[in-house]
Amino acid sequence: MKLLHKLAFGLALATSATFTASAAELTIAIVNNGHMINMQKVAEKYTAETGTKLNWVSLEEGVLREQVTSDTATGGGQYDIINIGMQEAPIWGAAGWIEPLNFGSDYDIDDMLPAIRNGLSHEGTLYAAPFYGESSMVMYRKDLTDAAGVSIADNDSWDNIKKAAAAIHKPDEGVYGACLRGKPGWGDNMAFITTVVNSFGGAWFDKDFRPTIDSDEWRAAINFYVDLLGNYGPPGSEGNSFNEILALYNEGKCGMWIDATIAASFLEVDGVAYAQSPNAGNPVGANWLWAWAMAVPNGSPNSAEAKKFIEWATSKEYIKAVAEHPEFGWGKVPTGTRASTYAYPEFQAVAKFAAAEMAAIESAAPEATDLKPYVGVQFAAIPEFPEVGIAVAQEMAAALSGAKSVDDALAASQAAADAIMKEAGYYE
Amino acid sequence: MSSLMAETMSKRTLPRLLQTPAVVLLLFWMLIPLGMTLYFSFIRYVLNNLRRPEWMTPNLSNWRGFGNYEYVLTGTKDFWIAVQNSMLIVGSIIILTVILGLAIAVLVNRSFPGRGIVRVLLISPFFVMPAVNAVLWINMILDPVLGLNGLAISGINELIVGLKNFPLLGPFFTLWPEIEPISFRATQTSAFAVIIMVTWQWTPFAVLIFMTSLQSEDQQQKEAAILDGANAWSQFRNLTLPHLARPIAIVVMIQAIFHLSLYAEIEIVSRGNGNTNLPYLIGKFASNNIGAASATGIFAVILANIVAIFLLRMVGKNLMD
Repeated sequence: MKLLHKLAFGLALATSATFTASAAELTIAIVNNGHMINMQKVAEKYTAETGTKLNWVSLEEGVLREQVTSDTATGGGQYDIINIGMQEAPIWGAAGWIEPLNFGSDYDIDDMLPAIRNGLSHEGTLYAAPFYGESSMVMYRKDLTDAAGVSIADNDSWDNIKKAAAAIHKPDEGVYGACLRGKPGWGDNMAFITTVVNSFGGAWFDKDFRPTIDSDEWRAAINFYVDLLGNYGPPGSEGNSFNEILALYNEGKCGMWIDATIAASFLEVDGVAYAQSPNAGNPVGANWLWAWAMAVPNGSPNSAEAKKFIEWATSKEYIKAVAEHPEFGWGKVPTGTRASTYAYPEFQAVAKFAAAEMAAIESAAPEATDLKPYVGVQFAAIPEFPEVGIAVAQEMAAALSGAKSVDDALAASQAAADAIMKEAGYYE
Repeated sequence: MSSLMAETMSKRTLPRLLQTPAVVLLLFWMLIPLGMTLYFSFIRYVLNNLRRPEWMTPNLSNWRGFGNYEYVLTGTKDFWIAVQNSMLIVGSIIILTVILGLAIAVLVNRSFPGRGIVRVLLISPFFVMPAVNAVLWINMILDPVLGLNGLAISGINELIVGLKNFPLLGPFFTLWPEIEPISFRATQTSAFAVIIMVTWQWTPFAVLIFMTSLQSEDQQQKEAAILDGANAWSQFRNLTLPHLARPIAIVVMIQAIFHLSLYAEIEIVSRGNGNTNLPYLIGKFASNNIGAASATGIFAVILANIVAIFLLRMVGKNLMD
């Protein structure tokens, strides 16, 4: 009997102990991106200082999207902090699924790169704080262009880019002029293709959200893309996205690559030079804008602690903490979020691409304009975009591999996008 | 008389009562998901729609009749392509695995040194996970630049260039073209990539089944046939093949069930470019439009049942004999 009492007492103690602990315990759903994985180690310091326990749930990008969408849409409340991308942040903010973020003056929000801040806001209110941002730029082999007697300038014209690609394209020697994304996916080939379309003056939707994929701008842009990649790209381009091209580039098989600025930190070949993305004579350049950010789902019971953690994890101090962490250092700090990061001489010394990256991010304009009535550069911040993007992505891959003509692929894309937008109730 | 009836009644009742828990559990297991899928397929249910927030929760007031079915059939043109492609993939894989499986099983059925090792090696592809299988094939073997495919083609091209530059004999080879490697991620070819890799993985399954039943083949009959002067082919045709009718039926049926739901290979090879099937189509809708995903799911159930009925007729007869 005494034993039983002791047992019951112990149990009660144990449960009360877990209860008190859970008062300062945050569950965080993160994308399995290098910077986020590193954050788990750096944040040990945060736990030591504040006593807040952090549970990390690391998920692959697609799974994270699905999990977080269904959890937030149905009010599941599994997570206190979620990782979301720039495509979701403005939509979810508008839907009231995530809470607005207001930080103290120490946070120095004006230090945040304005393009990134705008892309994560809805009607001027910040809904998700960025821990990593990127744009896209040209990464080319200066040794090859020099040998061929051509040059690539910042914001060069597409015609010049094609000329340069043709000059350095030597498939017999295993070097292909231009490696570009072709793998179907709204974040894969469509990210790049949309920037090309933007630079030709095209857009996904008009102001009534009717798709405009059968426009002349799209036709010109896609014809150019298929021509450039089909003639001067590696075989099998319809299967290439970031990782595949990175492997090709590091094998020395690519003369030029237009992709995410972060790629520059993985390149291991000599003679790489950077240039700002090309354009087609329009004010809009062909560079994209993307960020991964942290947000608090509406109705989280630990919302105050969650916001405090986000404030720390996206602050200047956090970037310093990564730089001073024995395992990481300046080469591993999250980039593309704050102007102050780029001002550190230690960072400039290890990241040769820093200046080019910051210029690319600053020149991207995610806000809605007369040209495009939606938020987002290489995507539209509407819930239906992923569905539309995937449908069009497959048509573009079919055009690239020659299974369809560009005109047929564009007509099919327009029809598919139209059906999806109608289904979603934008118009009858 | 009446006591006899009571006795037979109780003889039937008791086992039935004992079965009840299992049957009820199975019914719940099956009927609840099926019922929910049916319900969702008749209403507007979209996880994330800012224009029409009322569609974001499943509710009878969002009743849509057959609208989801109509949208799946006509709104996107993928549905019929997916059905055709499912049939192409499943049919090709079954034919190839049965032919290859028969050939290999008959070959390794003789005794030769190292037979045990050869058999183990033959079976091993079956234990590779589907996703690993796809990654391995598409990146290391079929890739047109860095894979075996690309290396082999560039090797052949180098050889041709070498022949063309050969003194004296060179001019004979000027008409030989240089070969372009095939990209197996393209719209036209991605279905074949999936067929190749799944055939590689599932042939061992066929070999395993055929090999075990070959061991039960009547050797005396074979000896008699040899005495009667039958050659190897007519032995195979008239003795071995009829003996293997049942295992073939099993291989066909099990593979048809498994391959109708291929997903990992399709995702990894080309993300559905030129190569979708019904499960892939469901996945495409499921991220947002639950109504359309459910309608596609119901179509998949219907299709699977049609296939099952045909197969059971064809195969079942074989099994009953």
